[in-house]
Amino acid sequence: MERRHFIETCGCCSAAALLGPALRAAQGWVVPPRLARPAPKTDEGGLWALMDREEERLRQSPFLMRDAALTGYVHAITCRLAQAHCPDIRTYVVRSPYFNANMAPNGMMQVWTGLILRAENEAQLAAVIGHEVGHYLARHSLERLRDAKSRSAFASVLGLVPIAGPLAGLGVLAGGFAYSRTHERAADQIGLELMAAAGYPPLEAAKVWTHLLEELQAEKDWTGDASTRSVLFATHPTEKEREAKLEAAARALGKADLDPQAQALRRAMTSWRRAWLEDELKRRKFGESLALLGRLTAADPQDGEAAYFLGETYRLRASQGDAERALAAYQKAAALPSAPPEVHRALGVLHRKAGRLPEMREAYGRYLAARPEAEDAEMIRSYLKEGG
Amino acid sequence: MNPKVLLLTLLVVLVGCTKPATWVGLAPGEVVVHERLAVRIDGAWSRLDGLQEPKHDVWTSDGTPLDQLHFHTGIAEGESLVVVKDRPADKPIPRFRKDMQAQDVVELYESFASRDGSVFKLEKLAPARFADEDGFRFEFSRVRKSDEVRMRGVGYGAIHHGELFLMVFEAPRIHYFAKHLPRVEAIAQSAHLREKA
Ligand SMILES: [Zn+2]
Repeated sequence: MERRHFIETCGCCSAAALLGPALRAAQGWVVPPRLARPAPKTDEGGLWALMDREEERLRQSPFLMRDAALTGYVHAITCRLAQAHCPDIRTYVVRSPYFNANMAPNGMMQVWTGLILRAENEAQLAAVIGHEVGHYLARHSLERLRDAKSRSAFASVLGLVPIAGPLAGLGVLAGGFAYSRTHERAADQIGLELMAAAGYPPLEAAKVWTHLLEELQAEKDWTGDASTRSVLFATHPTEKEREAKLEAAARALGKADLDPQAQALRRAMTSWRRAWLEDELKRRKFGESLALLGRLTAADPQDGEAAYFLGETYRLRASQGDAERALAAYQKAAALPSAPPEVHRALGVLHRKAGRLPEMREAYGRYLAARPEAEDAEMIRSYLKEGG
Repeated sequence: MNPKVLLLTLLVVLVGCTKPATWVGLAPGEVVVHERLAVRIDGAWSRLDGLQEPKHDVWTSDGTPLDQLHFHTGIAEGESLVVVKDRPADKPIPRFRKDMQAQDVVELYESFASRDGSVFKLEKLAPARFADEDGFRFEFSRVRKSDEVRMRGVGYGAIHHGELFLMVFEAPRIHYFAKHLPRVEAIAQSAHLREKA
């Protein structure tokens, strides 16, 4: 899997990678001793220096999540997986709605919020982080660097390509080169073993993959054909087989009765989930968003936030029948205490457009009662005055 | 980054324009944008020529990385804010609907302003007269993705006989926004509609 493409095109980064074609590499593998900083004059030293600069850029990026509790939570997961290597790793949470994580050879770990949002529990997040830690521990990037065939591709990435455009400042170089299939396979297996050792049920890794495939399939169903656009489908024609192989490898490790820590993850993202769901909708990948929100609302029917965003997705998609679907989702959300007050505004908009003025007034009234200082309060008050 | 590269990048990103564009200085006085929106200016504005957009105009005072004034004139039902070329087929194009409320229009603008992955935040939305109509005024902030510059913006919009008229100014939060804001407000106050020829 070309990880660079993955990041550029969208969603699914390491999850595709999460699944090697076979998973027998690295069996009986033991965690290596901590990596020493390489001498500056060496290939590896040059690579580290480059990654250090990327990391500096990332530290200053406005897209970096600067919530110590959240970052600490994710870093603790990294540490549980990386064991003795923990002191060598810095974890950065990057605000971006795409499914992505990567780890640079100098110990810079990036986890994007679109990945955290999609994980059902801590174990699923750990599955992707564990895979990335696997690349790091096995020093795959160095092997890539020394592989003559990949040198020119690598140089163009290290490049001497000025980093501009939408990915500036996200430390993209760090994940900017492709690992071989062998490396992906090895990282998969290491990831599963690290999960098991850290007390996570390895089978959750297979679920990450299942969910992603469902999202991509939903996008394909909605847009007609995703295969020409999804790197994942284009390069992984037998993904079902891989899913099965990862699952088999996970089952072989056992430990299915370990707690996947669903509540811990939910708590850690509580104050951010709403903003991340807003980011998700801005991708305008309605098929994927509907699959995600369908999964969230099914998993917890009392989740008013997810129900509200399900309504938002239908409203924005604005396809045949979506207005009715949006209304139904909003009405369901409005009855739940966990729904954001904006659900009443959304209902107000629909009632106003349909000329249902008493309902409009009630809905807008509830919104303003909850958010009297809302940025659009003046606008809404003007709607309440009009039409008697 | 080389300012020329930045400018070109911006033009491609924001305007989707592939041929080199040129800037043409506007004379002070009345300017009619695409024959539909008349405004008065104090000079020192340049208009991007060669945009090939019948309903979209881009102006600047100090150059587009530093300030941009966009006009969208007479956007009709089902049309997008700008002419969309080479849009990936899996990305639906946000379109104007004549039953849109102010919030929907802001969202439409937001989808245009954040299509490069920028972070857009609405700061204020209130009723306002614009172009002889009861319209609205909004303020927003945006972290421009290409260079992570923090921008501020102000927009005026109105729907007249099912057509959208929108004027949006955006500049870096530091210095440039405040520098031009009074001039932009004056332009908004001076705006008058012209009926379709
Ligand atoms: Zn990988």
